[in-house]
Amino acid sequence: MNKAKLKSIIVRFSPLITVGVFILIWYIAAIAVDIELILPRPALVFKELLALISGKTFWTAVGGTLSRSFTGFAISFALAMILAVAGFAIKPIHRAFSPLVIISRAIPTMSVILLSLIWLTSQTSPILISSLIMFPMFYSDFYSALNNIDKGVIDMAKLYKVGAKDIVTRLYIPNILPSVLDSVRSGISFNVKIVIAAEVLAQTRQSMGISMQISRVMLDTASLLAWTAAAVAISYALELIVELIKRFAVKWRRA
Amino acid sequence: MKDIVLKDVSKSYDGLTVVEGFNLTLEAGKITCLLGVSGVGKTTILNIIGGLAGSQGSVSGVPERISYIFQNPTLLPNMTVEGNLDFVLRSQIKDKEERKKIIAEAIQNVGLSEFAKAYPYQLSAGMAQRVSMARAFVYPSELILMDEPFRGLDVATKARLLEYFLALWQKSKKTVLLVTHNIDEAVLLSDKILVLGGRPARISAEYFLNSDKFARKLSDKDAAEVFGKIYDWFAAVTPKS
Ligand SMILES: Nc1ncnc2c1ncn2[C@@H]1O[C@H](COP(=O)(O)OP(=O)(O)OP(=O)(O)O)[C@@H](O)[C@H]1O
Ligand SMILES: [Mg+2]
Repeated sequence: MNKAKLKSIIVRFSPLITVGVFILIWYIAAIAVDIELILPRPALVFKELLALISGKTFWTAVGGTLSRSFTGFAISFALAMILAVAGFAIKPIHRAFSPLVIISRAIPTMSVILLSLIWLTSQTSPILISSLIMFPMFYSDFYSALNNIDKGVIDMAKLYKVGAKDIVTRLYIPNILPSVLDSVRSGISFNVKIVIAAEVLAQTRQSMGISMQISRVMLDTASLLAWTAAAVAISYALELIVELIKRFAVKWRRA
Repeated sequence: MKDIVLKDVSKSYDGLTVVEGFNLTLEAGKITCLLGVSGVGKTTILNIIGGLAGSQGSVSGVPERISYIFQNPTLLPNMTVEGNLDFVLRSQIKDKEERKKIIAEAIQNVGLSEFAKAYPYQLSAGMAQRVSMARAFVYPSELILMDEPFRGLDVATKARLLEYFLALWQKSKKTVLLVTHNIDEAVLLSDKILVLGGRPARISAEYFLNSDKFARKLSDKDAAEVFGKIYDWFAAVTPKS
């Protein structure tokens, strides 16, 4: 086997190698600690995860958390898109919004969580929290995506008297799509984390958050880690889906 | 096609008078060049003709549809070469098959048939500018406004581009206004060169080139003479700084 081939194999499997090394270190640490309550061995957590997956509670919890994530995500996405477009088309709207966006980004996540717990029910507050935290990020990303479109190309379209519909569907939408998908990809897993944190504090029924909280109260560290592994896998899968969509939808940029 | 006539046109930007009482005629079906140093007001005049800048005075004969070639090719990055031409043509020619045929021919005319399905990031600067040219000629306009279309290209690329341009123009004989500060392209392409100078801008000299543009060379006696006169004039009037 030549060097280049070996290198390409290593590159291809490097994520697996990383995970392998991580599990190995975990395993060694677990043996060294040797207290299941503090750090259970990987095999035990894996067994726990299999047990979880085969039960019904796991899926209702995952379903609940995902539906809350998607709702919060959709609300913040739609709101940010509408306002970014409005702000882009009418600059005073953007100027009015910028300080609001800066402030809302500066509000500590915990304040948002605690306040919404006071105001809302345990089912709805994770949704509000997720949309409040995602909104400013989406707004800034979408606004700069619109702003980064080549002005010369926009002017050209107008000079050649291209119709408004074609300008929107063939110029604006495809040109912001890559940044929008990047933004969605990095936002999607962050959003799941936020929702789980909110669920822990809101004690939301049928949620991954409360399941983790229960594991903690029961001092069942293996189960807590199994839930964590599940959350990581779900976030990773969501990011992967968005990445695949991007690869399929955006063929016009240098890879 | 009609001549385009500017009469007594004035334009100023808060206090700065760029043109005042300016007169200009673009003869229909001819290539006219406005030649002048940076900042003299060439783009301003081009924008007045294109209706992109308001002005005082009268501008007549400007057709409804105008094509543009700028320094920047302004191609849509998300569309192929074909798609870029289609983008400006869709609202003009409704029949899809007809459009396809016209576009294929336009792409062939600039030697890019192999790149019809290529995206702008896969094109060289010269190729991208050829697409921009193909777009200007395929669009059903009677006037082409060109603002420094050959700026920033090396001599060989530019020479090819000039050839493509003349071949395209030959087929359509659209009225052309070329705005540039390069004497060479002005001499090689134009029927008439108007040298712009001063502030407010005025036409300081006029040169007519009657030789066949397709055979014209910078080393031809009349072309070289015009080149030399214009160069010497710029060299003489431009103050040392
Ligand atoms: N929108 C504007 N607002 C204020 N001043 C302007 C504006 N556009 C042009 N000017 C000024 O008008 C003068 C003429 O500008 P113009 O762009 O027409 O020159 P130009 O001959 O095209 O120069 P260049 O070769 O650099 O493109 C310049 O002094 C420029 O600073
Ligand atoms: Mg200019």
